Amino acid sequence: MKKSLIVFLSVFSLQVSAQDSAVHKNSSYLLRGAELQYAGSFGMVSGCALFVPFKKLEKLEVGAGIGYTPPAYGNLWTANLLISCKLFQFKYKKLTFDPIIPGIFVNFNFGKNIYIAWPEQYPANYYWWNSSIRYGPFINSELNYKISDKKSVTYFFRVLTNDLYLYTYLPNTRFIKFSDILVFGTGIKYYFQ
Amino acid sequence: MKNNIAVLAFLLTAFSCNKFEYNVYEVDRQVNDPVVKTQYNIDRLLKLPRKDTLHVVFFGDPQRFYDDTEDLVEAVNALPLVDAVFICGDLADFGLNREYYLINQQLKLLKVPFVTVVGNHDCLGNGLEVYEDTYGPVNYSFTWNDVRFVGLNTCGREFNFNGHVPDLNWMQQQVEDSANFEGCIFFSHVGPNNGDFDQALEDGYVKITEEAKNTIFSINGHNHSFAIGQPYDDGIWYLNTSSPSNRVYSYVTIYPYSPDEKKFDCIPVGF
Repeated sequence: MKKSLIVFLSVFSLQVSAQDSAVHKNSSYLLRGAELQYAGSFGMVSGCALFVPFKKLEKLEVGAGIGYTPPAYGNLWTANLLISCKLFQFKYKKLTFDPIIPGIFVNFNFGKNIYIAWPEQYPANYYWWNSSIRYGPFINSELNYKISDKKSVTYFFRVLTNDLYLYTYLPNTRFIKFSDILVFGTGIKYYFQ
Repeated sequence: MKNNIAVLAFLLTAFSCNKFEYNVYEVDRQVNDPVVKTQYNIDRLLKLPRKDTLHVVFFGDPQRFYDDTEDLVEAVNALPLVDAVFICGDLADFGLNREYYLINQQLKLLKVPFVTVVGNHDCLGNGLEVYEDTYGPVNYSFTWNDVRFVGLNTCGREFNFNGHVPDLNWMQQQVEDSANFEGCIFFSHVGPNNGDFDQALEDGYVKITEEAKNTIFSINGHNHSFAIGQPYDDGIWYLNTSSPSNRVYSYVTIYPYSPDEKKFDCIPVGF
């Protein structure tokens, strides 16, 4: 488990280094800022670096980072990748409000009894799902305050669900309310360019 | 100042509620619901007046079959004669905190006391810890109307067949004080003749059921379908109770004081 996390973080850090050098070549895109989130299924606290990977598609934002849940709540780590696309926004002086920003995420969960590959005690396909990898849709609502030409700060509220919750909900729409499978996260983003 | 405290209290409550999920595998964040606890329900059972005949519903594996389980609860609540409900494991499918929360919303609607045992799916991820926090110990016993009920964890595969699941020493101890009960019932998730039971412990389990005072039957879930038989040709009845997904539960009538060798009747009931 620890090995998997180390490998993932190594690959991720290599990607960040590569993108850092790209930033120096053209500072108008790629690494734009960082995000700090409370809850939202990625950890009690999670953080990620924010990128705009395509110069001509400024509305597309990619986040990559890790999350942590302390031992009192399960001692869990996550490695997270998020992609979102801004649709429409309202501006008022230095404020910008994005009411709906849809996105998708995929994350790896690491902890006791959570596996990327099920251990040998189970026959093949004994459990059909991957206990480590979760993915699903999310929607952000964001309020951005422009500090200067390049710098700004955003408060966001995130609503998300995941593959297992949807798989549970879809055959049980009479008993389970859609709101039962939605979870919340909230936090701030800081953009420095 | 008062307003500030009220706002702060609101924010703390809102941000600590279970909608702000830390992780799908989180523990110790579930709604602490005293009415689903095993001990609470045993206490309710023990307050019932003493009787010659017990009427008990058994089912297992409600995992992810919430709409079917809702119908089952409604059907059981409409029964004219029912004293208790026993759920033979797999309350969750992925071992997630949120799944236990959802199934508890249904079990709480049962009009009669209910108890559970742990299933293999309940052990996944941090599920075992959530299970114990939610309901109580995975091994427990109690004497109700002179019947010793022994509920135990038999999910050997989840513990890599380590030779300790089920805990045969504990199981043996629960039926040693034979003066204190008339007959006994063993209930669990995985039956001893299933490949997910620790095969090294199968003979030991069967021996305890044979040597215990008046074993009425041993019942488990896991196979999702109803079955009854004597697989070891030793006079001990083994029952497998169905999952709500098959729209069947087991209606068991127990006669603790009957002089007959068979002290129960069991009917699979569709709903």
